Amino acid sequence: MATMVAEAPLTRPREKKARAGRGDRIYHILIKAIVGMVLAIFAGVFTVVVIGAWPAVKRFGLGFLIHTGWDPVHLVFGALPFIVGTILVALGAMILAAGIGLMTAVCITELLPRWLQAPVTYLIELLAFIPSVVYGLFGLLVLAPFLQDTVEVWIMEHLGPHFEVFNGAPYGVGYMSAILILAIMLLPLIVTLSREALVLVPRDVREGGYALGLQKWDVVWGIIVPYARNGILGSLVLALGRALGETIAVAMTIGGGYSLPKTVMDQGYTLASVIANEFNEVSSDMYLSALIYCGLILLVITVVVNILAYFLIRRLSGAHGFKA
Amino acid sequence: MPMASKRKTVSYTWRKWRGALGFGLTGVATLISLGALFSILGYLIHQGIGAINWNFIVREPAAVGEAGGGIAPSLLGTLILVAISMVVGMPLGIGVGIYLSEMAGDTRFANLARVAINTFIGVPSIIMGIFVYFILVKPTNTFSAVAGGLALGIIMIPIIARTTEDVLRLVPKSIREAGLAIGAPKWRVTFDLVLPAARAGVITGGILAVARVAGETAPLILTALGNEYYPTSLFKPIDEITLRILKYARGPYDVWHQQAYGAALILVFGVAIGSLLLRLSTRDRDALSR
Amino acid sequence: MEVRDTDILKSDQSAASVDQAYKLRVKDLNFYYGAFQALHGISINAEKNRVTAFIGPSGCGKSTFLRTLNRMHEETPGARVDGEVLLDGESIFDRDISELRRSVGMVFQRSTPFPKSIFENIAYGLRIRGVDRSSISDLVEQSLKRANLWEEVKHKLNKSASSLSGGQQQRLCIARALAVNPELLLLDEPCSALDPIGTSKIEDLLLEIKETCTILIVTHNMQQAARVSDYTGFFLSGKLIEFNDTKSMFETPSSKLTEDYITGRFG
Ligand SMILES: Nc1ncnc2c1ncn2[C@@H]1O[C@H](COP(=O)(O)OP(=O)(O)OP(=O)(O)O)[C@@H](O)[C@H]1O
Ligand SMILES: [Mg+2]
Repeated sequence: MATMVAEAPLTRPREKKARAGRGDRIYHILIKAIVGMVLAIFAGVFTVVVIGAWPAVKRFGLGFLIHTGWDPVHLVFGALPFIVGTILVALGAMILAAGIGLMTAVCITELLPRWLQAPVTYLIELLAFIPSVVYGLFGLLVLAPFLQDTVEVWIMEHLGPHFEVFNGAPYGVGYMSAILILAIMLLPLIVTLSREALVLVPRDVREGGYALGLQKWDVVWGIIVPYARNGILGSLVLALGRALGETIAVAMTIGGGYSLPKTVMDQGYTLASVIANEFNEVSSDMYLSALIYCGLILLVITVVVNILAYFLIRRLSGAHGFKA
Repeated sequence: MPMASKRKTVSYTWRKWRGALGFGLTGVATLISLGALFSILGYLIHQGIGAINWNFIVREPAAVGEAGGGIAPSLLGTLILVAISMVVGMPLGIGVGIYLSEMAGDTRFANLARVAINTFIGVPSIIMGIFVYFILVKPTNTFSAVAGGLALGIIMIPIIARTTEDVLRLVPKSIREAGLAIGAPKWRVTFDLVLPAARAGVITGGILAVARVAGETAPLILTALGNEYYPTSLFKPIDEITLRILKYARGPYDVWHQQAYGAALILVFGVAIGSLLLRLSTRDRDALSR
Repeated sequence: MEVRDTDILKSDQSAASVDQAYKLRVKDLNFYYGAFQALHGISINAEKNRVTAFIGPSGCGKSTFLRTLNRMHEETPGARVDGEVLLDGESIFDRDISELRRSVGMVFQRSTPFPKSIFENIAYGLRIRGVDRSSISDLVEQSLKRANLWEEVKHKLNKSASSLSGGQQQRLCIARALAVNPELLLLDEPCSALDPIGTSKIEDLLLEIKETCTILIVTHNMQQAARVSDYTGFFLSGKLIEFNDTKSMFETPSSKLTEDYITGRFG
């Protein structure tokens, strides 16, 4: 008998399921309509961006991705500098924020006394509530002038003659400011999420390390952090998605420019910031379409990163421990 | 354990020093993180507090570059835009959350919808601005409050949908079964029993979403545009506080800069209150799930 | 009394006369949680205005069986059932599910008050049924009294139900089920959170309400089954081992397994 399914007994009453009541039918239809509408909006966003970019896609093709030059008068457009800018700014900020953020998370969970952990965490979370434009304001009016007068002058004088990447003029606003501001913006996200991952490391894993006679630092760096790596990785990918799409703070601090960067102090644009800064200046339909084409590239990049992150986190969250 | 045996060859003192160095670096990193927070907040308060006075809150902006004037139209516009965005985002977001938690279960379609929602949380907000620009601003030939609110509302949808699903799932199954057992139809179970039980969590999600969109600037450049005067119609360009900050920050005048700090201080203060409410209401939610 | 030993289950008597005697008829019920079969060919007839008890060791499928009778299993993903369940001769699977559940009350193993006030917990079911507003507060009082809770809560009807003790919550759930006057009442270990006094009050209540309603009760307490029930069924590993009138069941069990269980030799 066991688990044999009794197929087709004489009567199959459950096949004639009574219809749901009227209220439930309306409720189902309503909720499904809402879901349909939301998915339609999501699909609509893609469609509209593609349609908006279409004239530029037709005219410039994929060459748009690898060409330099942004000339609204002669309608010659290439987005390579913005793509490079997006990647450089995001990566630069990620490197800074990941290093500092992860170490901060380790400090909070492993070094600080218990009574200090919650307030420090809360303060850093507070950074996440500050709107982008305020970071932009601080970057533009405080950080950039400061860099211009001090760090950038020093770099130009002392490193410039020896290294090409440092041989630029101290504008203040530019890649360096944008990367620093973006890094500060990413910090709370990375700290909060990797702190959560570290806190979740079970007690016996920690104690197992001490039982081996390891020093505290070796336990932290050799056992706890690797154990929490899935959560940490997840926080980094989320932060990367944010970094690629951040618009207004970068737009305010990167200065603006249409050519490939040569030094860390150059001015330029990312895909998002060029749209924000140039949108209200457009003088022709093709110019507008080229900007939307930049938006399309940005959309594709962030969607790919986010979907990868979603599946990465889902796959990794199953596997814990030391296994590869 | 190969790691332990390798470590054994390293001298004890070096290991101790390395530990001190490692923890020292994490301490420095924490100071940098906190330093960033305090320098931004500190500077904001230092520069902004002087700009804030009664006139600043109730007046329209002064003539270009002149002292005085206020940001009243921006504050009002912000409220209007947030209100419109809630009208759009709340029902749609909560509806999707209800669908995912109460109706769909783990079907393929539901999982697809979840991927879509998680993806859209990550889509840069300026993209929503582009969307609304093409479906509303261009056809009507004018930037407007409605367009701005719609863009913000669309940004809210996936955030609210996700938090709603999460908090509804925290409501014990037994409450639903008890409701069904006395013959309540599903829709009444959802609205009378499940949603009230998860009220605190749903509100939290709402506050989170509002705090998020209240600080958005990029999509508004493409939709609401900004305005020097009080809003007179939902179908005309409207000002918003972050647009005002952007404009003043980029302007050449010291007065503007100071007013930008003042406006930013008000904005941060407002959002901080939101975050405080959030903290309090999440405490309620923890109590509920216990 | 009519024929009532297990032979009746297989008899081919004309449906009409059988339906009159039996409130509930279950024929060849199989139940599956996905690939796991939790109930194997259960057949039972429950007489009108009688208390039928179900006993059996933990995990044998008592709750599963009870939940099937008001189609609560349909809320469990992956749960499937085949076989027939007739209430007053009509298949429960053909009825409107909400309407069915209004006539088949259920009290769960663990108390499940709504996150509402004490008053609203009971009034809610009445409103769902469309009971006239003016009579609601009378009916609330009446059902609280029947469940022996009125004296303890009459001063705090507007307090949250979660402020009650476990036993009080359970009585509230019973009151809630009684308020809508069910024809068939399913009780899943209703007394597990009650003290002896509360338990005996509930037992008196059962004997009282069976005048108007048919009761199925799951219990772990053999004495309780003997005290309150007219019929008893013994479940083991998803199978109905024995079903008989309570007296015979406890005095002369026909199965060795039943005897072992009620004499406490296992389980
Ligand atoms: N949702 C479910 N999914 C899968 N299996 C289940 C589920 N619910 C119950 N079962 C299984 O079905 C069997 C019967 O469970 P049931 O809850 O009916 O037992 P019970 O007789 O009520 O036990 P108890 O006296 O402990 O309440 C058990 O083996 C249980 O593990
Ligand atoms: Mg049970």
